[in-house]
Amino acid sequence: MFRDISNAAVEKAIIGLTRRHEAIASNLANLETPGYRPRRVHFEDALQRAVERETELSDGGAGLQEIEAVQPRNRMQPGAGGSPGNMSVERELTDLAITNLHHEALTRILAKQYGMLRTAITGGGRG
Amino acid sequence: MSIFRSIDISSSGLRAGRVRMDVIAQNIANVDSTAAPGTAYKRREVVLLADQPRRAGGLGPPSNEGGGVRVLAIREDPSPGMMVHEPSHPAANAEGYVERPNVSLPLEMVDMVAAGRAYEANASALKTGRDIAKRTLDILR
Repeated sequence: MFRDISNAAVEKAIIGLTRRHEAIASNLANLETPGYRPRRVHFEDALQRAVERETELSDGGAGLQEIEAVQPRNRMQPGAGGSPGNMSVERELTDLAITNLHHEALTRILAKQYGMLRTAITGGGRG
Repeated sequence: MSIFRSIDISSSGLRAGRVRMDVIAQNIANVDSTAAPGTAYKRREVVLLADQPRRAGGLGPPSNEGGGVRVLAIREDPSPGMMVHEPSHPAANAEGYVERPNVSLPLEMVDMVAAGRAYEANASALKTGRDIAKRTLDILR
């Protein structure tokens, strides 16, 4: 009753961004570790496809199985392992800043969605 | 999967950075400590290892997820130091030679800058991790 496609998608994206932040933290912690291969987290494409399929089903978001099934995927950057210095600290810090901003935007959207539900429940404070 | 996992990862990076800085400081402090041949101070370096989380609750094969970093060992650089003729030195051998440590000051300086930058990068990841955890908890309000 309180869940529709949009807030299920926002929740998934927040989880994905949290995983991505963990991967970036790990890449930065291992900046000087020989042989370490940077990790990347992917979820946006899978989430977008899931939202499209869910919209086509148009059962009013009764199931949301498509979105629930999306799992953020960790990948190791192929090759380039074995020597220190295959990491770009600039890239990691840029990704860190972007992840942080996305997370902030999404948590605000989610809070807004819950706020709207609260408004509906309390009748806009006039009930 | 805890909400504070990324904070643990970043703090392992900070810890490793501090150990590196300690070792560099030790090398620089000993840059001039001469001793009898064969007993001179040897340059130390930190050996880092990536922590590899495992699948299936710590028993399965290594997962692709990133983990923290661990200081595996502090290793001595075995290369010989320079021999200096200094017969008046109390530690000089029969031929009047003492050994200088194999520490190279420019190398230590470069390492120190790199270690400082890595520390800063981990500190900003930690700060972002704190912000993310805080905002996630703020949804409850």
